[in-house]
Amino acid sequence: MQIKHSFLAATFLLSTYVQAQDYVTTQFMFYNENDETTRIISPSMEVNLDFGSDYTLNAYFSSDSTSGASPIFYDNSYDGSSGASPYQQGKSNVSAFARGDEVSADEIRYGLVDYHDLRLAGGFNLTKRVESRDEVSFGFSYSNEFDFRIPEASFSYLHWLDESKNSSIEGAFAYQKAYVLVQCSENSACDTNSGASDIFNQYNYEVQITYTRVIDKYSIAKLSFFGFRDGGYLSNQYFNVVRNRSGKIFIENEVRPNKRKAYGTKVAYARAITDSLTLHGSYRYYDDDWDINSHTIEGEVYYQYNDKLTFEGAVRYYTQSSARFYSDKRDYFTTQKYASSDRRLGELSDVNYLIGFDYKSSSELNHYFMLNYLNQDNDVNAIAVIVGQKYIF
Amino acid sequence: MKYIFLVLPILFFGCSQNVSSWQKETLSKSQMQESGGHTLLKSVKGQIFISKEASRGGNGAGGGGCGCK
Repeated sequence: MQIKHSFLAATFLLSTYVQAQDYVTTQFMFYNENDETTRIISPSMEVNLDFGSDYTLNAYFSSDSTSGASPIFYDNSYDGSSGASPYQQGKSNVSAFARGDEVSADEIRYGLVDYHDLRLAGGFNLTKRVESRDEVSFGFSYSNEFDFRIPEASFSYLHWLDESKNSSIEGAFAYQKAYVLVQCSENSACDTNSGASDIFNQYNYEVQITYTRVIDKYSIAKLSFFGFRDGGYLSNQYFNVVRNRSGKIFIENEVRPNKRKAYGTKVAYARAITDSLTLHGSYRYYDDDWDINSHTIEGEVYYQYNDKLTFEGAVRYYTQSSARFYSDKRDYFTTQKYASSDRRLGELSDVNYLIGFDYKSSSELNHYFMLNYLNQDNDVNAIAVIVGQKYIF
Repeated sequence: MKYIFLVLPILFFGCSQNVSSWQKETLSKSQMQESGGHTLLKSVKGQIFISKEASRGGNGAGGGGCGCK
């Protein structure tokens, strides 16, 4: 699925930021891309509870109802009405599994295949403060779709480096084991091309070390190093490539390496310019062994209009290089072992804008409204409306 | 080039002062936290980017913050 990437990593170390406060947050997001490629309706809820001064429990639940269409190569002559695939709700009666046989070059199309999905996810994180006030956290999360489920366990330790708590270092580790339900119709990862399904696994590890430092009464800075290692079935079963084998044209499932190692670093800085104006800035560098490296620059501004109303704005610029096995040209791939035409693996850049406000209707109740707009240079545009409410008790 | 920005934070952190707990009123404001302290908002923003881009990471361990707890 187009959105499948998000479920792989969104829960990584999600709950390591802990607030010592009792609250319940409910949030609703509506997300829509241009050309009807993806629409998501996502309600979510978070609960944070303090038990004395030593324990904090944070738990969340979210649901994503996703519909839309993924852009893929397909065989226009394929008759999807046979019922051989569960994914035949395509507008043009095509299937992501219409592949394997030699096809006519004139019948190859690059277009949208419909999909629908429902994800349910939840998790919790328990933090224990020891005598020195260092924090030990354990977390568990679980995300489930009909063809993808992924439990995750995480652990982190935060150590204060001075008595005034002006500097700290935190180490965090997370492990995921994903279960991917793969339809084996002409999928080279399977032992059989019968069309039956098989379950493949992913084994993902992620580590991060973060050093935080209070600079003065008005500013704070953070430096992080992170890395991850993904292993197992990392291909996307819904994406096709076109191969030219000695003049014969085939549509086949994409094949990605079964390992990926990445590392990166991020530096962030926040400063209160005045009592009402706060600025944030950050930069992230990323590099992996698929030859993808990326740069991310982000700025946020908060303006507190009065005791109740705060405006927020943010701009984020992102750019990445292409994976070494990516090409969007349908006559590019021949016998390469690894091949993908998933445009998210190509060279791209995007700019994201966010504006919104936070309104305190009482000392216990906050409301926030955010409008997010993503503009990618490969013709992807997406808008998200996010409405939330936080009740502090 | 990429190593230059590893050196800059070292210089940056070297300029820090000792701030006592009673001087951290400004630092304790929600505006000093990423996404205004709204963790669900931070989560969905992260999901949007991860679903459209090929890289991830760096948004996990939140660190100790200002030590205002």
